[in-house]
Amino acid sequence: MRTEVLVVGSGIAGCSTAIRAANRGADVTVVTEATSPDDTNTGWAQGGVARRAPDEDAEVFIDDVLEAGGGVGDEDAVERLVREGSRAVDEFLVEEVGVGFDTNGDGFDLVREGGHSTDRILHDGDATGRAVQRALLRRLGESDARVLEGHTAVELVGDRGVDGALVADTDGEAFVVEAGATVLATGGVGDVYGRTTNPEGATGDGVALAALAGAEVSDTEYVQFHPTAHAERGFLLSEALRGEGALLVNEDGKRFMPDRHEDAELAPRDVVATAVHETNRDGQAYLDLSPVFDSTEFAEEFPTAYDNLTDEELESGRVPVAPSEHFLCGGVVVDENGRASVERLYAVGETACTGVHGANRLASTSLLEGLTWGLRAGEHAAENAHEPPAVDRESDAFNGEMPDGFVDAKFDRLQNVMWENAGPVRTEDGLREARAELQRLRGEVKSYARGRLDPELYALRNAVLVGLLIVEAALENEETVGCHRRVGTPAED
Amino acid sequence: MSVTDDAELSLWKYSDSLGALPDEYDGMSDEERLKRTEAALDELDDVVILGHNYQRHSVTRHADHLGDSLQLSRLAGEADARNVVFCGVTFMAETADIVTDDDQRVVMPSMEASCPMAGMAENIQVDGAWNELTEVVPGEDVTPVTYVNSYASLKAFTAEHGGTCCTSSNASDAFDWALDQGEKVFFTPDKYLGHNTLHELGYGDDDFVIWDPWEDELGGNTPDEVRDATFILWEGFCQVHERFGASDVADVRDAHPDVNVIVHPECRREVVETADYTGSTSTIIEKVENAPEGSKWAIGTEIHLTKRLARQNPDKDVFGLCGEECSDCNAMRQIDPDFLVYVLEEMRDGNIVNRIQVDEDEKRLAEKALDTMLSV
Ligand SMILES: Cc1cc2nc3c(=O)[nH]c(=O)nc-3n(C[C@H](O)[C@H](O)[C@H](O)COP(=O)(O)OP(=O)(O)OC[C@H]3O[C@@H](n4cnc5c(N)ncnc54)[C@H](O)[C@@H]3O)c2cc1C
Repeated sequence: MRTEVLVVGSGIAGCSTAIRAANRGADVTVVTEATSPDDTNTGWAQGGVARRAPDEDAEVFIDDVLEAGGGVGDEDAVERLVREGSRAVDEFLVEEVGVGFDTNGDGFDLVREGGHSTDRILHDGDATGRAVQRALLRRLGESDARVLEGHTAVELVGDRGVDGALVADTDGEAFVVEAGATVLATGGVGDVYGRTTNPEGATGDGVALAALAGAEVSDTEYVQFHPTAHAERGFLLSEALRGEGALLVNEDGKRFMPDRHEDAELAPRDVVATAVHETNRDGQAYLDLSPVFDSTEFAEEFPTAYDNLTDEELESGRVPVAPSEHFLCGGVVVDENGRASVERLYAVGETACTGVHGANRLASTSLLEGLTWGLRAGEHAAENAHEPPAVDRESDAFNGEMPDGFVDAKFDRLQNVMWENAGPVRTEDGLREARAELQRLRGEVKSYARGRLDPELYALRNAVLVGLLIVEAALENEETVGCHRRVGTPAED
Repeated sequence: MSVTDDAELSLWKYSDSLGALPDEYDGMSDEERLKRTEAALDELDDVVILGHNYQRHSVTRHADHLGDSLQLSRLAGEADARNVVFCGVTFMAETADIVTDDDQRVVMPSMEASCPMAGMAENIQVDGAWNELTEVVPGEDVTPVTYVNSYASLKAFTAEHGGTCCTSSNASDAFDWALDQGEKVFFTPDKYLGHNTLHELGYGDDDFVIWDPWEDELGGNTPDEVRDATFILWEGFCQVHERFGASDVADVRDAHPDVNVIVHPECRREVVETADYTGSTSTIIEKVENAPEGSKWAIGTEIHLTKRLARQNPDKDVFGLCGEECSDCNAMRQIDPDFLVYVLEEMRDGNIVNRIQVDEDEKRLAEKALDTMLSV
């Protein structure tokens, strides 16, 4: 199959790219693993989309983003996000795509989240991503782009630069899609940690594929952990619950936050994440919701949480929590048009490192980032994508036998190593140990993936590689900054 | 590069050393690499390079010794060099670390050269299996036998439970010994070697069960099946040897009616049954070397060994049992000659990179399992 622009992924970044490129007249093919709007991080976003508030000085928003990022974000990128992104929300998301954000009498209902100095977040209840993802898919369906659902990009192909991808369908049949431009929009890395707020399947494919193609990858030590996800079932229990009075307690019902920070349960995210993480080292942290039950109409104000909790949890108000992998700030290094350091390759959305987030992400800016860079990449790729060259690549799969459950067992091992050593708190010794473990694991997994076109094995291969990239970056960066927390003194060599 | 040197068969389009190797090592020409390797070696007088039979020529040309995993460990133990550069896979380097003195350092060119079969029996799984197994049959009735192609931690497990290691050439002795200790053998991690060995001892397909660690209960067996079995074989296999099938043997016989087929005991039972000879790497080498001029040999093992045999026996017709792509060991391939220059140059500059060090307790126990093997 041949196409001018190949887009891998159908979250906000992939859809924006594809819709824009198709509207500019390019022949576009979207390859996506997703078979439902709930299969993307985009579909799961809760809070909303930040955009410059009417009458707001752009500098204020810019400063908020930079400050959240620990002062290491890229100022030009943030400026672009705020000025151009805010326009794109109105002109593209609202007008062209038709997302119906909540309104009140004066227009959009704007809310504020931690780290924002004003009310500037558009939302649709507490399930904004759902509305955004559905509207985008509808619009994508109306465009001329070809969409291959349930398909996985397993390798990039090409010699000097990238000329498309090897794509597998669910039956393990594979074919090459030759492309003049290839855009990776594969989302997050939740499965590298296991305990994650991301939907299943977030294995960092784009980051791994780009790295394998020789593209520069950076800032991977900046992994954001949400402090209060359900300890067993992974879903997110939003900060707003603590805002309404929910308390963090240990097994004995004793609060552990007041000793750690003057703001107690409302301390900054990384402080709360570390506290919960450490409490779980030799016990279990719980979120006590009873104060919220008393002060709110819980089912109405927190419908997502209400739906996700069991009867027993709703009865007792005690919910086991743990920090969970939430968002990768770094990724494939790209320029202002989403171009990676390898010819004809682009990366957008969570997969990319645009420099916007620096060392930590300001709430509700990732949808905005995916949108802004998605539109830019779509525009640029449509203008520059040439006829793809013919790719000569024989398939040499043997598809040998593989024990059932093998991939799961290796994922468990990866996730244990990552959680223990490259989670919310990191030490030099732990990271070194993790590196050796992961190198060994990577060697084994490469052997299995070789000659077998099983997308699950490729996902594992990618996740292990992404794990290794996170660990390497975390080892190199000895400072605690943003969401990267290093403790202990480096061992003497 | 000459085709006879190396099977340059990579699915991967791109080099994927990904930072494990500094940029300056990218894109070296063959001559430059050779010159740098030799220059580093000239300055290093306290190093011995050990190369596994499955390594490519551009690596083994620098080796002081070539051999299979056990021969190399023995050589490592005998070497007095301070530094041992092991061009093989992790479990072999671990064994070398176990048998060398405390002041000797074992280094691998690449940390990613890890045997996938060894990875199919992780201790956490084996410990779990042992606990489950010994709830159904008394622990003292079961003796673990562990193929040396396994991580040191599994060898340590073996010693802890009174078992022994074995190689592909002494597996039947190890099984005999184990059956003197108790009623059952718990064999890890290669089911095909286990299967072939029990047949060699006159047992049959009713005498074993496969323990699949990825099954929920008793490795996918009923308690009675486990109680009735003499051998419990771990669900693991070698990626390379598993790929040969009986049809490859039939095809090669069709094409060359006078061919001798010799295969490694890590192959499937059906392959071993239809081959003319079965033997470990050293047996294969010996057999071909001593064969009459003009004889034809189809070799069922890793392609680099086959190619070396072909090179060293120009008077015979020696070739692989199936195509090159199907018998190339990916783990062994991770030892890229670029990595070899890298570790040697670092060593010359006083930096020991990629050192393999087995935990002390594990070392002691694993050594015990290896010693037991030598005494059975
Ligand atoms: C619970 C939760 C709440 C969040 N809340 C907010 C919020 O309120 N505001 C905000 O701005 N951000 C929020 N985020 C973050 C935000 O949702 C994501 O960062 C963003 O949606 C990423 O968009 P994306 O297009 O890059 O990736 P995704 O939306 O994850 O899309 C990735 C796509 O790639 C596909 N894919 C992956 N690998 C392959 C492959 N190999 N081949 C083919 N297809 C592939 C997937 O199927 C999917 O279609 C939240 C995230 C989570 C998990």
